[in-house]
Amino acid sequence: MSNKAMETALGIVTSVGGFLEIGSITTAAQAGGMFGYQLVWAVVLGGVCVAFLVEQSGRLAAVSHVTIPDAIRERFGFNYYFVLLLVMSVVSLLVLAAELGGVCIALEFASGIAHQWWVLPVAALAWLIMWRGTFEVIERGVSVLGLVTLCFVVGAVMSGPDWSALTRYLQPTLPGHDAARYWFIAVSILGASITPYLMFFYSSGAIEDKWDRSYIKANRAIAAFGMGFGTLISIAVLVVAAGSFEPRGIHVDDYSQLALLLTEVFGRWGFILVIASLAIACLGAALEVTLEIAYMFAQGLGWNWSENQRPRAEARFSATYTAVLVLAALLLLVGLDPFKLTTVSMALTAATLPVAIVPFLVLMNDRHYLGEHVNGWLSNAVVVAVTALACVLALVTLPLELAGGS
Amino acid sequence: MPRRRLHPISISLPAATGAALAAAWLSAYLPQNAMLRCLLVARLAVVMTGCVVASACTADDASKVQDRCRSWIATARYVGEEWLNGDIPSRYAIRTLDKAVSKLAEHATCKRSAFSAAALHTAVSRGAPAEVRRALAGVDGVPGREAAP
Repeated sequence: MSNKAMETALGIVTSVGGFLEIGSITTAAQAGGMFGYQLVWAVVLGGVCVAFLVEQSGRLAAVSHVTIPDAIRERFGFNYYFVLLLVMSVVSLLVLAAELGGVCIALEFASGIAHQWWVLPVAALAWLIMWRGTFEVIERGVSVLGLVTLCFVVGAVMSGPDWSALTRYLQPTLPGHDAARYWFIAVSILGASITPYLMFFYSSGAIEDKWDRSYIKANRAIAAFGMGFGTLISIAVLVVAAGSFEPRGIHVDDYSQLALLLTEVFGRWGFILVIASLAIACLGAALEVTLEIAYMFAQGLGWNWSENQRPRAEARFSATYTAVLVLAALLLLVGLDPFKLTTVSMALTAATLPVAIVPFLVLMNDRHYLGEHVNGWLSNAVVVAVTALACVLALVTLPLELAGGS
Repeated sequence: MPRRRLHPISISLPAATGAALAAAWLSAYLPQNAMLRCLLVARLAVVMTGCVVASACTADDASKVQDRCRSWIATARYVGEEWLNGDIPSRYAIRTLDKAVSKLAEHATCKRSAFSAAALHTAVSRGAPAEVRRALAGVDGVPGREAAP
C-alpha cells in the first residue's frame, strides 16, 4: 500500500472514530426515542452536507495553503472577521462545555460520583493532552479510540431493525404528533452534524499536515467515506433508540437515560460500551473544539499557531486554549445542566451556520484562492440549501423550545 | 384550558436588542458587500421577533407534562427490569431512579407515579430482587388517569 493510500485510510478511520460526539449521540437518541425512524432523513441530510463542507475546507487548504480564518479576514476585512470570531467563539464555548459535560456524565455513570466533581479533573486532563500532545496525538489517538462507537452499528443490526421503514423515512415526512418538538430535534440533528468547528479543525489539520494539490483526491475520499461511515454511526444510535426507547415511551430528556441504549442488545456490556463511547467521543470532540477556538483566534489575529510546536513558541495560542478550557469548565461548575446545554448549543450552532458558511462559500467560488478547483454547482447547491433549511428551522423552533421549557 | 404565562426568556429580549444595535454599528464598518450586511441585520431581526413572540406568551401544555411523566415512569420501569437482569450496576440504577422520582414529583398530576418510582428506588437501594419485582408490578405508568391532589 502506498504512503498516500495509508494516509487516506488513516484519515477515513480517524474521521469515523471522531465523528460521534455528545450532540450527535443525544439528538439521534432523542429522535429515535420520540419519533422512531421518522427523523433519519435529518441525520442523512446533515451527513451529506458536512461531507461536502469538509471536502471543501480540505480542498481550500490543499490548493491555497491558507486557513479559513486567514482567508475570511483577507477577503471580508477584519470587522466581519471580528463578528464571525465573536459568534463562533460563543457557540463553540457552549459546545465545548457540553462535550466536557458528556465526559463527566460518563464518569458519573461509571463511578456513581456526581458529574460536577469530574469537571475540573476532566478539564485538567484535556488541558494536559493539549499542552503535552501533538496534533497527531489529538487527531489520531483519540479518534482511533473513538472507533468503540462502532458498537452502536453492531447494536443496531443485532436489534433487528425494520429495514423497509428505515429506507422509507430517508425522505422527510410530517410528524403525526409534537410537531414543534419534531422540528426542533431535526434542527438539533442538523446543528450537531454541520458543525463549523469541524471544517475549521479539518482545514487547520490539513495545513499542519502540509497538504498540497496532490491530496485533493485523498481529501475527497476522506470526506466521502469518513463522513459517510460517521453518519452511519449516528443512524445506528437513532435505530437503537427507536428499538429500545420508542416502544416503552421513553423520551430522552436526561443523560441518565442514554446509558440504557444498548443494554437490551448487549446486556451489561451494553452499559459499559455506552459509557466508553460517551467518554471517548466527548473527550475527542472537546479537544477538537478547544483547538478550533484557539486556531480561530491565532489564525485570524496573526499569532504563531501550531499544536505541534512547544507552548512557549506560541504563548498566545497556548494561553487561548487554556482560557477556553477554564471558561467551559466554569459554565459547568456554575450549575448549567449539561443536557440542556447540549440541546440548546446544537440548535444555536444551526442558527448561526450562515455566519460561517456564507463567507466560506464565497471563498470556495473565488478563483484567486482556488484557481480551477473552485466549487461546482452541486457543492454550492447542497450546502446553500441545507444551511438555509437549518437556519430557518432553528430561528423558528429555538425560541419556542426555550419557551416551552424542554 | 391552557394556562398562559410569561416566560423568563423575556430577559433575552434586551440582550437581543443590544446585539442588534451592536450589529448595526458593526455593519457600518463591514466591507462593501451589501448582501452580507443585509443578511446579518435580517437575521438579528428575525431572532428578536422570535424572542418577542416566545416571551410574550407560551402555552403550559398539559399533554406535554403527561408525556414527560409517562416517559419517566417508563424509564423507572426499564431501570428496574435491567437491574433485575443484572445489566446495570446498582449505583447507576439508584441515581437514575432518584432522578425519575424528582422529575415525577415536579408535576402534581404525576404524584402517584412518583410514589411508585420511589418504592422501586427503595427496593433497589435495599438490593432486594423480590421487593423490586413487587414494586415493578405497582408501576402503572398512566399518569393521565391520576387525580390531582
